[in-house]
Amino acid sequence: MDLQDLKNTWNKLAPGKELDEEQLRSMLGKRTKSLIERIDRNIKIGFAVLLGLIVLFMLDDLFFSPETIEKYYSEMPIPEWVLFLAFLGNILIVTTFLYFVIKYYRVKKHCDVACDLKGTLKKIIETLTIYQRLFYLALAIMLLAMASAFTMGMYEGLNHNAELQGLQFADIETGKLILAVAISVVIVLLIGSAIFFSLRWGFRKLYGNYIKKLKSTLRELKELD
Amino acid sequence: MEKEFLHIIQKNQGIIHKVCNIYCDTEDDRNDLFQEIVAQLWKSYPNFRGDSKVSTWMYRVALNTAITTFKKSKRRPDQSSLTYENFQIEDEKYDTETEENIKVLHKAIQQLTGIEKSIVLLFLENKKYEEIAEITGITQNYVRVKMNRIKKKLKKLMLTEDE
Repeated sequence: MDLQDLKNTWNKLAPGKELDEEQLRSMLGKRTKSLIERIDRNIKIGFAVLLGLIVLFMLDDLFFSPETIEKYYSEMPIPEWVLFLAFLGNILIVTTFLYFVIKYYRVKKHCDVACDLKGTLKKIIETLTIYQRLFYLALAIMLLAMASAFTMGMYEGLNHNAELQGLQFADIETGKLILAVAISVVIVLLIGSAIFFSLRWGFRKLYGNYIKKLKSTLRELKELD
Repeated sequence: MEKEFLHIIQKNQGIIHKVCNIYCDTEDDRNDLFQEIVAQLWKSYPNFRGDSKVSTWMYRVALNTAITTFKKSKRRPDQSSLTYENFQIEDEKYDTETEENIKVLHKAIQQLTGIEKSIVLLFLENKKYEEIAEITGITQNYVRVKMNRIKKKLKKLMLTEDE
């Protein structure tokens, strides 16, 4: 069988079951199953959630926390380094949020599905990369929040313990303090790493092969450029 | 606009069916891909200004969608149970030699990459290299080189089958 036979065989194939206008019209109303459309929606939801968190954290820093501190902790002021950490965390979240929004809309403008294959592939890979980074960012923020909350909790716990014994925080034995810090660090690292690696494994399992396939297709296109 | 779009799709739906047949093995996958291609064509239609032929635009969107589609990894069935059910012969053209040729064609196409399938499909549809380049967005030179490689690959595969 040669290539001409191949063409002749191809021409004998039935094209497929013809659909009428009504059947085609019903398809227009259905939500696309495309992964990229779904990821697009998830990114927008992610932005909305991040924006909500930013507003919440700022309200907390400007109104709720000062009120709570004044009402319940006026004799036990929160250390400045803790306040600084919270403020720095907010700045980090806001800057990263703005960076992602700008990057995302730049990629969106790039081209639509009627572009050439190379452009379409590049756009999808960039969108997935943004999604992946947004995922890691959300993970990092969650871990940072957990670590700060845990650290603050340990600090308050030690302080409270010292007070019960009629001491100040500065009176706590250095050895005990170092042990407490070491335990905190180990626990935070263990739990944080476990969460990070298991979620990263999950993300790679879901999308890892797909990203590889797209990159390999793009490499194939670039071969003879 | 919807009526106009549906009329175009109905008239040229053979293009979508052929793309689905080449890229999908099962009925469910073909139906999913068909629906996805129609959705993407509808999304892209407002930007289609008639700069190219309708068939060129449809091939481009259909092939882009097929090549970039995400498939959940599922336990693949035993290869020998995969049939060429998507390659159906028009009744009046049936004969045993054609059926054998279809098996060879199907097996050969399975061995190609996503891009190779797109080029082969357009070649089998008698598109010139210039048109293949316009649809796929790759240079004519690359299409020629790629087509030569694919021809060698297919010849080798068909020779193995004949033996």
